Amino acid sequence: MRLFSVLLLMAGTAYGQIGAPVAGLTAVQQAQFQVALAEFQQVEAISEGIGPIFNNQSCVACHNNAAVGGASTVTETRYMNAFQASDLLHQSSIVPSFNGFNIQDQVPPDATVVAHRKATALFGMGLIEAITDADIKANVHTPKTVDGVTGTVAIVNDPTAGQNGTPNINTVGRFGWKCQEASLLGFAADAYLNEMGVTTRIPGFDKDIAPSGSVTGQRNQSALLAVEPALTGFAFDQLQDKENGGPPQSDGHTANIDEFADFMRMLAPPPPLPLTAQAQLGQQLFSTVNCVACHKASMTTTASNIQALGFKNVPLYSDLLLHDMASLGDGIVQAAAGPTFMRTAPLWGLRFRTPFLHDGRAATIPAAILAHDGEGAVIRTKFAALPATDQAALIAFLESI
Amino acid sequence: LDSKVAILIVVLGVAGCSKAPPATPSSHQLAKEEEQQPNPPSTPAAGWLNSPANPESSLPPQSVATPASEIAFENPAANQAWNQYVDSFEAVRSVPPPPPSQISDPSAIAAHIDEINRRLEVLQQSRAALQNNLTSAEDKKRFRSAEQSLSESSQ
Repeated sequence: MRLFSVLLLMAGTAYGQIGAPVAGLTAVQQAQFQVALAEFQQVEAISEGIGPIFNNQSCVACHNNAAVGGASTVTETRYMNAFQASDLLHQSSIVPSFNGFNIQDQVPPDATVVAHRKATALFGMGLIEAITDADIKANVHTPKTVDGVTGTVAIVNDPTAGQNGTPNINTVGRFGWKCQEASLLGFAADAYLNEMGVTTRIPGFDKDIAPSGSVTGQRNQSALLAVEPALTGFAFDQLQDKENGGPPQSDGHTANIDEFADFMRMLAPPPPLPLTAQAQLGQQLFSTVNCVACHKASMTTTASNIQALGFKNVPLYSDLLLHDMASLGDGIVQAAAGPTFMRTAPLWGLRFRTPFLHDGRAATIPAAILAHDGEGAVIRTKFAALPATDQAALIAFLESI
Repeated sequence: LDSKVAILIVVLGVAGCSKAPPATPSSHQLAKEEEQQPNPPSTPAAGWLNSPANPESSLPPQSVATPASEIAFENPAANQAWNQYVDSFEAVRSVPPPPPSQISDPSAIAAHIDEINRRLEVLQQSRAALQNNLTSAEDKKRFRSAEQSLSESSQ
């Protein structure tokens, strides 16, 4: 009985704080969360697979606002050429050049679009993963609303086929600024390769990335493959296959990406603040102005292997759809999203992630609202027409959720 | 006992890794719902890298903000509709706020929201009327720019 009481007590700690594990985890899951939290903060070295080109050496380096797993002011650079081939700039290299080969990534001279994106907050992503595809598809407005809002489902490949039972085609993307990923395992593998240069067992993320810089914007993969054997034993991604479907490691996990996915999956949603009278007015105005056409107040999860995530209300304030935002788009084609299409950013925890919008262009929430365009233009104008006191109330609400 | 609990948790913690279940709608659902997509991609795509182009997408034309007071449309009827649109915009802004003493009064707040809603509907109608009078591509661009300017000038 006393053992049960102690476990119950531990299960109830710190859930009200940002960065805590989701409420209701079992003791086993809480321990898994702690292991994953530590791995998320681990600074990786060349000997652990970093590079040859990368942006940072740990997950937490870009996800740390308010708590581990938060957003940050760190931005990455993306580019696209005239043929709409888009790619990510890797700002660091473990060896700038070797035997005459340039190993420093750069924006190709023929890039026609160069854009910047903030690191996103990861709070509550396990709940988002547990929302069904059908529920997201049901958020499309057909026909479009009187405000001109419709929304597009992002149909993407999920490269984690066979890793968690998800089929690899025609799944609904829901993570990232462009809804480019459908699962947290895929999201982790994508980021591990593209932000840190570490290969994994996931198809498509199992080979190192060659530096770009050619006039066609294509990565020089053949040059990389030619030089990599020569660099073995030097300092060039010596453990290139460590993550590639290897046996379970000593901590019981198959790979770091499983732990990253566990961390994101079990990270609690941002706790809302009690609504003041002003914020309650703002909440009503949020519906009156029809911000909810895209920033849907809540969705629900389906059954989950993690019981704490199953059949829960998810107050994320997003429809998890792509919308044509016209001039607010980043100009990049990625996965299912065209240049002007962006995912409806979930608004929960907005107070933890200044500055705002995908590239941090807005210093304040009103500035972010007024930058809405395309499908959001009419609702933006309705917000702009509100009396100043009502605008302040709506902002107070957004700062509380 | 506490140390035993801690050991138990650590042992249990490394023993396995839970996963959220897959979201697997039936193929029938997928086929039906994909038909409803306004702009379905030609092929599903994944990831950060080199995604295929979406031929349905294009960048919007570059716009330069025009001060709302200086806008002049080619169609004279659009000018009149624009003035009505600006008036309806100002009408929403001029709704008096509920007194601070009534900020917690549900009936006062409901009345305030109703009035805002009523004027927003008029704004919506005047916008639709204006759009009906935007007969050229140039006028549509002018409207887009002026409306952005109108929104920003309200701050």
